[in-house]
Amino acid sequence: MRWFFLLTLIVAVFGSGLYLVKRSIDARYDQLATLQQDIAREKNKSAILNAEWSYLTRPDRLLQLSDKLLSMRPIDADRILPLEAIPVRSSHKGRHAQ
Amino acid sequence: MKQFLQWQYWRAYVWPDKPEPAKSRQIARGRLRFLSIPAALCFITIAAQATNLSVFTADERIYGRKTQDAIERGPILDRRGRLIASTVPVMVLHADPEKLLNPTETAAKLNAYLPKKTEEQIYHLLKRKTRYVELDRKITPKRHADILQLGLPGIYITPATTRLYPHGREAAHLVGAVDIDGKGIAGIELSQNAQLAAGQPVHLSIDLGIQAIIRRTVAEQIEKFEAIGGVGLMLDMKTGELLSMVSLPDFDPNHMMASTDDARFHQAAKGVFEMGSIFKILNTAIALETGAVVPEDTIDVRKPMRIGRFTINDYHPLQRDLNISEILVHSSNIGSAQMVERVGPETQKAYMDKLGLLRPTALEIPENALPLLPDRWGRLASITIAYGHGLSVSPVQAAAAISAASGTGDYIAPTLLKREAGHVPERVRIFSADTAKAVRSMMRLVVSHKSGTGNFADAPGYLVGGKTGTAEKIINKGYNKKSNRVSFVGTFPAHDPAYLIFVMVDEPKGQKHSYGYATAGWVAAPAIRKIVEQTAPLLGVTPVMSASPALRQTLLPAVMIDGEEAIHAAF
Repeated sequence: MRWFFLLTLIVAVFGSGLYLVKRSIDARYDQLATLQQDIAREKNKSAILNAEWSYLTRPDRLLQLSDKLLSMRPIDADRILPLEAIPVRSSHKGRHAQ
Repeated sequence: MKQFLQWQYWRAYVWPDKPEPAKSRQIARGRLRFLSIPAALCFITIAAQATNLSVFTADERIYGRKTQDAIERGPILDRRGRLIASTVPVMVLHADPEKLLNPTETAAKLNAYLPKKTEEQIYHLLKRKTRYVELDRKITPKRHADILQLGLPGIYITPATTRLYPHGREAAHLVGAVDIDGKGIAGIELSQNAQLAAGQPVHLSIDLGIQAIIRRTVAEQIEKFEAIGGVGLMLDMKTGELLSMVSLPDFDPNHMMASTDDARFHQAAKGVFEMGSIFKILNTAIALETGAVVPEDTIDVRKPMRIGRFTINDYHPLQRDLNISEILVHSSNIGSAQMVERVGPETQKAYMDKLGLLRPTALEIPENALPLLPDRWGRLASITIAYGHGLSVSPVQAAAAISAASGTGDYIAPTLLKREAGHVPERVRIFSADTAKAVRSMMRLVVSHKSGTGNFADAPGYLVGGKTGTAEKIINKGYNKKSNRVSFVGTFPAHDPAYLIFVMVDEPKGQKHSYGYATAGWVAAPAIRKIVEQTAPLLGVTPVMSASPALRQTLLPAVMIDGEEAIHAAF
């Protein structure tokens, strides 16, 4: 009789332990599934937003908008100079001139 | 009532007197037996459900959770990472015809939400003997909600994905398209299908900004000259990367089915054309490289050349001898023909072969044209090919060949895929540095000299060099003087050619603003100037406003044009 009680106790302890482990695995699976769904949803959103950004910043649209809203035009070549062509005061003089 | 006031009465409930042992044991046993039945039933139920949940249905639930979606098709990006093609989620409206209660009524109800289809079309779809018919691939959230409200049995809305091309027409031809299952059927989508299907992105050599500028400029010229189509290319001469590839008319790849076959035809890669006078660049390079001529040689162009029943004429016959530079500047057919006579057809053919003009390019799209070779590459063929007739090649082939002749002399195979920084392209030496230097000096004179045919291409400060080409189109097996295909190939900056631009306009018509002219110099050359002025800042090419000795050394010294010493760079 004593052995029977002991065995029952052991089975009960291990059984409960197993059950708890299993429950926690299930819970984590659920969490994983939720996270995966969230990731998928965010990915979808980002795919749509990326596509929309790309659509709104298409160069031909920007060209048209720039034509309409800004009065910019290509710079004449004679107004572009390489950096070396600009005479720079030496830093010593420039900084400490009184 | 009195008994309630006595505390013994209440005590009997909490702590009753000890009953007779035998009797009470009997009562207790009876109660136990009675209660053990529902208790056992409860436990059995719990145990059964616990076993069921944790053992038998667990797999099903876990399987249900694992909605591991299929690998999404990779995006196609331009060289600066701008999205050209991407896969986006959509809602698909579909039906299971077997589960429909009343197809007529269903069709009538759905009609309001499917503007692209008539009620009859919907009805026919719903009557099909199948379990799946797709009604619409792009259901907006609003329509989604409305259709759900209808509560039609057999009508479903499922999430799916579709291929989206945010830039629409911009790079339509080269990007290609996918079929309903998301498999590539044309262009990059087909050639790079394996990589895209594995979810990997594909980086193109194309720069969408430059693509937009070139497309707009070519479209403007087409409109101005009432032309029917055009091509625009930009090639990075140092890496072989195509920065832009425009073919007009084009189509919106998001609505592929709504376009005509003409619009879907990729002229820049799949079309082969007689390139006309721009081939004189190659002819000059071959003649110089083989030593058949030196730049100072002069050739008599006074009389038209007769070969059998053919006569070779010049558009503007000059009554004197021309040197090699002058032949290119004045675009003399007779001069070019005389040059190739000294080279010979076999040598010419061998060079054309090395320049990749006799077989399709290895461009990373399936639409690669097979060039059209003459039936017999004899003397007559070699003469016509010298000025660009008799050999039809694609614009990409022509651009790559001319890049070799006017750049460093090396042939670099053109590519549509982005090269990593520091990538060393495979080069095939075809022309010496001296030949290339002479050729690009002469090309510069075509643009900078007042007698040149390409004056309108000159973008001040950027040292554009180039060559015009006007080819009569073959209509009903004969050349038609009225319908031309005009082109211009330009490189810049001439002292260190980095970029090649090719523009072709199909069937331009003379206009009042062009004094009736529809030649390459009037139609294609101005496009080159516009493109150079707008793209040079994007490409980091700074203009040069003074001719330094170092710069002069990169071009041929002292070239005589029309009896005067010509200056390459009229700053």
